[in-house]
Amino acid sequence: MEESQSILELHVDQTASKNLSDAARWAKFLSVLGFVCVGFVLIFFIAMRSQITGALSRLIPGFSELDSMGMLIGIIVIIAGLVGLLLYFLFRGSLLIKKGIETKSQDVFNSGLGLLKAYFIMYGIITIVELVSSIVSIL
Amino acid sequence: MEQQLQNQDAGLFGLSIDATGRQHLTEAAKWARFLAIVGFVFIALVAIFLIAGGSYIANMFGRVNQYNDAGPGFTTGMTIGIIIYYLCVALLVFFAYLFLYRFAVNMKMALQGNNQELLNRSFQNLKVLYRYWGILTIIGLVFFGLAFVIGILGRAAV
Repeated sequence: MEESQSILELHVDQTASKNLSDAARWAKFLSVLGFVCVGFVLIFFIAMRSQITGALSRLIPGFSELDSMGMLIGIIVIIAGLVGLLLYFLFRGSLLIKKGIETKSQDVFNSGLGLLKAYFIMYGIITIVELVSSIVSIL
Repeated sequence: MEQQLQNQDAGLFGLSIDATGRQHLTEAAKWARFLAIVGFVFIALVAIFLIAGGSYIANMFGRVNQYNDAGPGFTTGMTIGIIIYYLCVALLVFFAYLFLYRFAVNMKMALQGNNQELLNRSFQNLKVLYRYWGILTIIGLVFFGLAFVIGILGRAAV
């Protein structure tokens, strides 16, 4: 019974293994680059914080430099956190998929697929939030 | 027969798409399809805006150019240049969403029909998608690096 179930299942054959390993390698490269970019953006905001908060307090009437700093930190933490988590899912997912293929470990491979799913779900939710906020700002 | 034996061998000793993997991939494909469709709609809107809003862009450049010596030829050239540039960007992004869409659709059909060929095609599109973004990123980084070097050299020459 177990054997017939195995024959009917979809397999990660040689072609699929090669494609998934290549996909994982490029995904790892992109996620590492993404982490570096997030790091650079954070460094930029930390270095330019006084200029940015000064400009914000001039732009928004009744907004002190302290308010601007608080708002800036809040926005940066939320955006960096979301992007960082998205990149983490991609990075960890690609690592586990590659490791699962190399070691032929079904559990590790499934964990990698789970993280790929989490990456797409999070990407989708961020897109929905962006769409809703764009529609609200247009109306 | 040989193919069946190979599949059996792969199933007994290799990785397979079991119930857990199937659930993860079904969900991933659903969200990937949604993302691809949103991407197609967004690209279509950008293309429509660029083609229909050409006169708006030309008007914007005309207002800017009235303060310098640039003639109407320059305004027209800049407008056409900007429209072509953004249409090229839209085309590049379109291909990325096309690969994402193919990954999602092939995965859904492969899981529904237990089709190994479609599963392989789906993973191939996932590979092409990430390789495509990777190569575009490398090209972008090279251009960024060149602009940086040219900027430094230009500053040193002044």
